[in-house]
Amino acid sequence: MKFKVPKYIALLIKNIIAAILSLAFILFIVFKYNDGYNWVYNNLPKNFRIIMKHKNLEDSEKLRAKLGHSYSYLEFIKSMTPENAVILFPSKDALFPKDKKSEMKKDMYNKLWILRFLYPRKIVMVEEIGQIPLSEHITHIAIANGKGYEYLDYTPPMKPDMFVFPVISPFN
Amino acid sequence: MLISALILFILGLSVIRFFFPNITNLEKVGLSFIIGVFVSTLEMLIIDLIGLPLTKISVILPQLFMVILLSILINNREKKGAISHDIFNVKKLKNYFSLQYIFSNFNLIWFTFIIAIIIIEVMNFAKCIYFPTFDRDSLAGFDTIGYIAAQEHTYKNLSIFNGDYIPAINGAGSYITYAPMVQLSYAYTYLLGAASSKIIPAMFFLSFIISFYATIKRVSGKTAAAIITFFVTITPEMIAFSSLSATNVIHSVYASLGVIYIALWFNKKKYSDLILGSLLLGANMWTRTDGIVFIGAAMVIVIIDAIRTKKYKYFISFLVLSFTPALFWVIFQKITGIFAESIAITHLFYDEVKLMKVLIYILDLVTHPQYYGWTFLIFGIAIISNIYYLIKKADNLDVLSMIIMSMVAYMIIIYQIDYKWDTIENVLMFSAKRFFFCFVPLIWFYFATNKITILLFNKIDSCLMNTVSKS
Repeated sequence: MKFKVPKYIALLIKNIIAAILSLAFILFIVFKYNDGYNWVYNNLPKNFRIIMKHKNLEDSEKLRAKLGHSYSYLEFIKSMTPENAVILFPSKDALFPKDKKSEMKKDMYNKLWILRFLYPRKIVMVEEIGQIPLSEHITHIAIANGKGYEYLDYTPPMKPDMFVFPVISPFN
Repeated sequence: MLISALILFILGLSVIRFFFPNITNLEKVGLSFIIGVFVSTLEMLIIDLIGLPLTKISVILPQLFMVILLSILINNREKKGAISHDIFNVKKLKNYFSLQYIFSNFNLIWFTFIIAIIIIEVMNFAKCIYFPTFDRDSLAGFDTIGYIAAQEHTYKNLSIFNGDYIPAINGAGSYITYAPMVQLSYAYTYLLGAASSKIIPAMFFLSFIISFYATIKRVSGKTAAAIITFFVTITPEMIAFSSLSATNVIHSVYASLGVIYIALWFNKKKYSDLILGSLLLGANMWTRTDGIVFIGAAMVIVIIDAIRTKKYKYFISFLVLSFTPALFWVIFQKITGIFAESIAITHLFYDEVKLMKVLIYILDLVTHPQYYGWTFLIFGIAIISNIYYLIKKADNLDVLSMIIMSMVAYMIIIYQIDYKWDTIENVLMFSAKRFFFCFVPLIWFYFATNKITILLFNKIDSCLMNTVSKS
C-alpha cells in the first residue's frame, strides 16, 4: 500500500483549519448568539461542577436541596409514624396560612405527590373526612403551622408548630 | 440502578438482532435500550392482566427465557450463514488504524462535533442520574405510580387507583388513564431494587442520541450526522427536560424515530425499516396517547405507497404494529375498570377565540429561541433552500408532509381539549412547550436529508476526506 504523504498532509491541514472553524462556530456563534444555547453552555458545566463537588451526598440530602422544607416535613412525619399509619394531613389553610409566607411547595396539597414520600402510610386529606371510608381509621394527625390540634381528642403537654401526634394519647 | 438498564439493553439487543439483523451496528446499540423498555413494559402489563403478581421473578424470568431463545435462534441462523452479525469484527480491526482508512472515513469537523456531543451528554447524563425524581409531574404521577406498583406488585389493582382512597383519581386529566409505558418502566427499576428511577430517562436520551446519529448517517453521511445530532442534543428545553422524569422527551424519542424509520422505508423500501418504524410508532402511543398524530401522519404516507404500488402487505403490517399497543391498553382499561373523565371534545366545533388563542400561543412558542434554539428557523431555511428539488423532484416530500400533518393534527388536539382541570392559557404557556419536542428531531432530520444539504455535505466530505479511495 503506497501513501502519497503530501496528499495526506494537505488533507490534515484542511482538517485542522476546518476543526478550528467548527470550534469557533460552536463557541462564538452557536453558544453566543442564541439565548437558549447559551443557557445550555453556561448551566450544564455549572451543574456538573456542583455534582462533582457534592458527589457523596445522600439522596435524602439532594431531595432536601430540591424540595426544601416540604421534604423535611414529610421525612419527619415518616420517621414519627409506623408503616401502617393512616395520617390526617394538614388542611390547605394550615399548610399555607394567609398571614404568613409558607415555605412549603404548593404540591404539598397533592395526595399522590405526598404519597411518594410517605408510602406505605395512608393519607386522608381534611376535606375527605366523612367522604372516604379510610377517614374512619385515622391513626395519626399531622400538625402544620400550629393547626390541626382540633382533631385530637386530648391536649398534648406541648404544642409544637410542626408535629405528628397519634390519635390515641401516648401521654396516659 | 444500572442492573435494570443492563437487562433492558440486553433484552432489546436480542430482539433487535433477531428481527432486524440488517440495520447498522450503531443503530442496534442505539435502539436496544429503547426497544428493551418497550418489550418489557408490554410484558409487565400482560403479566398483570393475567393475574400474576409483578415481582422480580415473574418479570425477569420470561425476559431471561426470551434472551436465551433468541440467542439460540440467532446462533443457528449465523451457523447456516444466512446473516453475519459482526458487531466486533476482529479481522477488520487492523485496517481501522491505517492512514487510508482514517482519511477515508473521518474528518476533524466530525470529530469536533462528536467530542462536543460527548461532553454535553456526559454532563447531562450525570445531572440526570445524580438527582432523584423531584419534578412535579413525576412525583404527582408517573414516578409515584411506578414506585407503588413495584411495592404492591400490581398495576390494575393499585391502591391509588381506588376512588374510595383517592377521590380525584377518576377526574379529568388524571394520570390513571395515561398510557402506561413510563410508569411501568419506573416500576421495573424499583422492582429490581433501585432507589431512583432516573436511569430510565438518562438511558433514553443517550440511546436517542446514538440512534438519531445512526439514522442520519445512513442518509447524509457522518459529518452531517454529527452536526445535526449536536444541534438536536443542545435544544435547550429538550435537554433540560431530558434529565427529568416526565414523559415528553421519552415520547419524542419513540415518535421521532418512528417517523424517521418510516421515511427511511419510503425512500429505500427496506421492509425492516417499515417494521421498525411501525414498532416505534406503536411504542410512541404506548407512551402518550397524543402520539396518535404521528401514526396518523405516517399512515397517510404508507397508504399512498400502498395505493401506488398496489401492495397492501406494508400497510397491513404498519396498521397492526403501530396500533396494537394502544389497542391493548384500551382493552386493559376496559377489563380492569380503569377510567377517567374524558377531556376530549369529540364533536367538531368552531370557536374563533379559542382557535386564535391556540395559534398565537403556538406561534409564540415555536419562535421563542430559548425553547428550541434554531430548530424552527432551520425548518424555514430547509424548505426555502430545497424548494427547487421539492417542486421539481418532490425531494423529501414524505418527511415534510409527515411533519406538517402531525403538527396540524397536534394543534387540532390542543384545540379539541376541554380544559376542565386548568385554564387553556396555563396549558399553552407552561405545558405546550413540551408537546413540540417530537418535532425537533424531525425538523433537523428533514434539514439533514434534503437534497441540497446532502450535496453540501458531500462537498465538505470530498474536500476533507480521501473520497477517491472510499469504497
